[in-house]
Amino acid sequence: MNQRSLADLKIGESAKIVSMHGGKYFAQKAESLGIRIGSKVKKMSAQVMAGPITIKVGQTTIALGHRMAKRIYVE
Amino acid sequence: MKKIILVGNPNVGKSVIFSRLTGVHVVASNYAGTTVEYTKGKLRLGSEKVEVLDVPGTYSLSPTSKAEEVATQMIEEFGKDPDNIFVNIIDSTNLERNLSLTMELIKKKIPLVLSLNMWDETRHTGVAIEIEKLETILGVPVIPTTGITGEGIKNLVSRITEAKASKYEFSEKWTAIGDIIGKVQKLYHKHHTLAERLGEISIHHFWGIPIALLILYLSFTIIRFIGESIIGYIMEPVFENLWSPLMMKLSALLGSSGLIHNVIVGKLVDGGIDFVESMGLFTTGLFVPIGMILPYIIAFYFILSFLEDSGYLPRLGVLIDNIMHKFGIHGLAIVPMLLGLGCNVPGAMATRVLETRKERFIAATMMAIAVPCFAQLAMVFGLVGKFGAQALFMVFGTLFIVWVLLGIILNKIMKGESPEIFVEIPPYRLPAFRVLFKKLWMRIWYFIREAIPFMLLGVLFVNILYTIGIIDFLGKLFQPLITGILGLPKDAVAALVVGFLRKDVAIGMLGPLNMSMKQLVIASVVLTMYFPCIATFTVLIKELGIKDMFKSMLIMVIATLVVGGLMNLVL
Repeated sequence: MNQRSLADLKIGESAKIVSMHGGKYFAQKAESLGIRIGSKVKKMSAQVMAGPITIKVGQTTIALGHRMAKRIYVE
Repeated sequence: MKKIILVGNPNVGKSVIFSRLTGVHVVASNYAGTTVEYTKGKLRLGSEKVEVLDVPGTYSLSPTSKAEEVATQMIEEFGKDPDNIFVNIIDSTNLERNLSLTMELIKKKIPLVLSLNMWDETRHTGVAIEIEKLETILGVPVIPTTGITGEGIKNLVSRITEAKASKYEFSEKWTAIGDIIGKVQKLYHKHHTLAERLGEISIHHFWGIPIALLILYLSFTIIRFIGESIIGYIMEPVFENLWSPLMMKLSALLGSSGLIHNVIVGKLVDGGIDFVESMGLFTTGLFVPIGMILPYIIAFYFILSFLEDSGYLPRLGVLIDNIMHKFGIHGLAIVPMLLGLGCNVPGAMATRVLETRKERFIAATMMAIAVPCFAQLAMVFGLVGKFGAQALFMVFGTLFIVWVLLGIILNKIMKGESPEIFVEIPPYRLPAFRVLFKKLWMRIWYFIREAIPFMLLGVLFVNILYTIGIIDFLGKLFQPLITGILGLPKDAVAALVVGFLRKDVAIGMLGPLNMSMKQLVIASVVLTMYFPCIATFTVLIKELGIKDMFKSMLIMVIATLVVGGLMNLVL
């Protein structure tokens, strides 16, 4: 299956999170910030050279590393 | 005493509410066994006096950082006493995410009041919340507040005693939140606000960097303007026209020379007092901290607090994240670096925004070695600046190169993980000036309280050490190192000894040594790098632990000798 991650989204594009992979710390923090399976996210920006990306979940803007973004799959 | 505990996510305006509730008598304390700070104040509730505690912001009760750990512990500890009341402060424009913590608090069955803060912003962000409905569902008082204007605070105070444990039952948190949101909140279409547009462009992959450079340039211009104005229009006239004549009278009274005269008034330069070089307790000892450094401290912390409270710093963190990763730390490590530029002590404490031991070690060591505090910076400007911009550039250029190389090397040799940046980017907000000025005052007061006694001690110490010949002895002992490797006169050893107390005094001591530009440049770099001042040293031990601090110290000494030696050869 050809799954797309948050990192593959275009700037300004919205999608729904279908699965997330990462450690306990990541899972906990993501959950408390409102990033969870089923959340609707919008990609706001991405820094050059695999820098951090920013997304909007609900009313919250969140910056996260490129590697983290690659482990959050969306559709 | 009964306690009111303010809890909430970061960036919800908790400290604004705190300052509205408590007025002027506020103390910052460290939570037992940690260096995590929380603030405490008092509030009159009817005839009763209660204590108000501002707990560090947290997203959940499953902590992911040191500050969150303390918040969770405090909630646990104070929740045991059923008399204590918890006020959960919520960003109304972001109800859904904020309710996550609320649900965890509800599960604790503690007396709860919700304060829906930033209520005024809901109007232009297109959010409508039915307060009464939320109150009925959760069964606890819900009060809309706007901390910045003070709206709703009276209402909050009068209803605090109605706090009770919620009887709301739920099995899965987010399902429950979804259910509540569906019932009480409606979103309307709204236009982009100016703040949102600015928020987007300042992390834009192209425009972000030029904007950051512009902001930094403006910041330093404003700092210089404020600092120089205070010095030129207030401090220098006061010291020259009022204090100097007074000191001259004292000098005559003490017989114009002798040991006591030299300790108190210092040496007379051309028959008068030179506030930088005289080195007396009441001349140099007072002028350096108050006349030369304090104005810059005020200016620096004003700008930094503004950048902090407006929400720019996390954006800067995102922009430079890539570069910082080369050093094994992520973009948010810019916060301890910038704070360290004011004073290394809060800088060292701020390293706890970083998650792992490796990151904290690297950030603390980089800061302690290569980031001079503003007191030191002001002295370097004063002393080395005489040789022009080129000399200053040599000092700060070298420190910057050291900062970069050190980061790269430490990242290579340190074991451990460097997680990526993962942080909420708060919307831009005009800072609440009462909170900003309170914070500014606390930072300035810290400087006055800590720096001036140490400064006086430093000056006294210098006088004693010179008089009893210790400096001469140390000078001879370390001559191979000081003169041989670093190329400095042996008298510079006195500055290195005093630098442990106060680095600014130490730099000031270089003044009368008649050093060449090259020597002064090397000495300024060496004094920044070789060792932290005693205040920073103590905090670093607490933050890093003795073992890691020892390693860090070893790196400092080696780096200083290598860099100082190289400069001596190259320049």
